[in-house]
Amino acid sequence: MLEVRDLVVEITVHRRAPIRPVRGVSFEVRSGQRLGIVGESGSGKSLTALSLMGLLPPRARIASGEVYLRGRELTGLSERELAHVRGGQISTVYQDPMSSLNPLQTVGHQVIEAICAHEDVGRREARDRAIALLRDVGLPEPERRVDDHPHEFSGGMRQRVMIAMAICANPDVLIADEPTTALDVTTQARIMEMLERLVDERRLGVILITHDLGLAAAFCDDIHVMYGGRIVESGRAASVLREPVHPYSEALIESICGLDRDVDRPIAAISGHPPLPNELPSGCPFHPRCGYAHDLCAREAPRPLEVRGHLAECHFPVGGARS
Amino acid sequence: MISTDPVTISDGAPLVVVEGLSRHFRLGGRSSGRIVRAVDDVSLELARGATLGLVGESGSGKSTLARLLLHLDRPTAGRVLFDGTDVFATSSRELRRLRREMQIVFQDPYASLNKRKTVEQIVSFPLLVHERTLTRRERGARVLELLALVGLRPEHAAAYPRQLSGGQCQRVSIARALALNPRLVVLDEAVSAVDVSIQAQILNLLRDLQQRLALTYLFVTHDLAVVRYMAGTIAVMYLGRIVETGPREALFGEPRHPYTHALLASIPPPPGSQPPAEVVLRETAASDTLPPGCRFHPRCPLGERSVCQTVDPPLQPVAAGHSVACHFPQSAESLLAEAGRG
Repeated sequence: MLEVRDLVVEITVHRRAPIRPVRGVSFEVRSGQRLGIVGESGSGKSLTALSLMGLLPPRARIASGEVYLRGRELTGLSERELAHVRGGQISTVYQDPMSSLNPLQTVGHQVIEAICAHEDVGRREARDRAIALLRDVGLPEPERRVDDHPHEFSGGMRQRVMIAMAICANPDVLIADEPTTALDVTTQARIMEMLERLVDERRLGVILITHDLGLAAAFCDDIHVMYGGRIVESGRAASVLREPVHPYSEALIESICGLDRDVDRPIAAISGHPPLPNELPSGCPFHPRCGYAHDLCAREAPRPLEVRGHLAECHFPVGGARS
Repeated sequence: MISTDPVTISDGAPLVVVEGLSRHFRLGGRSSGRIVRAVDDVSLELARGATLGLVGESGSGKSTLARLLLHLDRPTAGRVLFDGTDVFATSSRELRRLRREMQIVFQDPYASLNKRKTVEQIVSFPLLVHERTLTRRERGARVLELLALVGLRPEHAAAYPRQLSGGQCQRVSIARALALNPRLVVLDEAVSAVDVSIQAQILNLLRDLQQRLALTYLFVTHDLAVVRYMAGTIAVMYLGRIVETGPREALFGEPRHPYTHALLASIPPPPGSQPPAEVVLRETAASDTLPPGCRFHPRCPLGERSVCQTVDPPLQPVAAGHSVACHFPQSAESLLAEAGRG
């Protein structure tokens, strides 16, 4: 349904050489599929999402690559055509529901506005549809709450409203960019459950962008792990979490402070820090932090290899043909 | 000099004792009568050289409590004893001495560092204020010593915060907090904003520093897994009150408050392990006033009971060192069974 081919995003800062935060990313999203893109800051995960929506910041642009939605190429579309795709066929839920809602207007008004932007319906009907949508995303007493303002809602309820707006035009693909990061932990699980039910009922394709590998593994069918602007490992979610192939995925999983951690021992931390796009090392972007790195890793960027059903960009994959 | 010899931690009087501490804020004018009880009658103790973990969600009052401990805010009622001295009833001269002993590390390392100052200036600032007899050369040496202590290189001294990664900035914050050899360090969501792969580095560093310098930590966080790793004793806060507190083993092994159950159930379980019995909370509207009775009842699976709606439950012991503020403290399984019966 959605296909991204060899996407490259370039940022040009005045008089300096352009930097490439996204360096050749390819993936597909099928109808009803839940795909997780997992990465740390600077990995390129959010810019990848923004470029699908045609919402890159001013100095950034898609330098090469294609994005196909139901066979239609999106990167060459005019702003006017893109505006129609946005919120219509592809829509987004962002991290912070408070700053995404207008505090001066009622919640209902904003949902109705979203409905009317994509469909020619009367005020009355749009209002009924808004109430039905709000009920569908699990807002209690939607008939009464529809006339409330955002400040009268808890963080979780606001995020439910944002999700209602995102799905109002029956999009094909929903991009959820850290949808629960700003919410309290007890609310996070409820929102993810609701999202899970919605995408199953509506056969939505979902791209979950997150830094939280545990969350991605619990929600997604498939996971792409991004590092230094590339997808360094992809595979079935449970399999990536249990038997990672790329040393970065492996080290990341071992460094997570989970509830099963032995409290008497230090955590196996990854040294150094994730590279910024303007300071990418040569060869494999992970090699300076990698416990398995050889000379080859600093010289040559690895090509994607298939190992145990995962695709990984590593010269010496974990449990693979390592010498 | 910073002593780096391992220090044996002796039992004895706690370093910090908090007694009946409250901080209420009045909303609107004097006549409106609406009062937010950000911290409401909280008592706790911080044992020397140990870590107390304070867990809560947004609005639980955990940061207000941390601010009160550091004398960054004044309480409405109650008192804080630091090594036996009442922090809010002391002379300004004595307070100045006390301030050296207690330091804080904030969540966002970029926002808490002055971007126009070099790392050296940032870390030496506390020394300029409190150690006026030090020469420039001595201060410089001390800064290098501190940077080494937190795992930074000497060349980082000349860097500006924007030239450093999030993890390195957080190390600078820690170095600044340690500059005056404090005994208490409040870590307010100190690893919540750093990258996943950096979090473990900082946690290891904090534990290492605690051992070497015999530091007492108040570790404030919303993350249960992190607090379990860091703190031997844990207090769970909800709307200004401690609802459950106890040693790590009790709180994670035999939790008794419905809110603690819900917090534990909300963490994705490690792969291959059994998810805990799922206690689901009701969502309530945003409100700035407390409900009558138990403050948790509007979200509790058993919240329909009249005793919960009318009587505020006190924090009462259920086992040695393990206390719960609930009329019906029980395991998650029996709570779910009881809620199912209605």
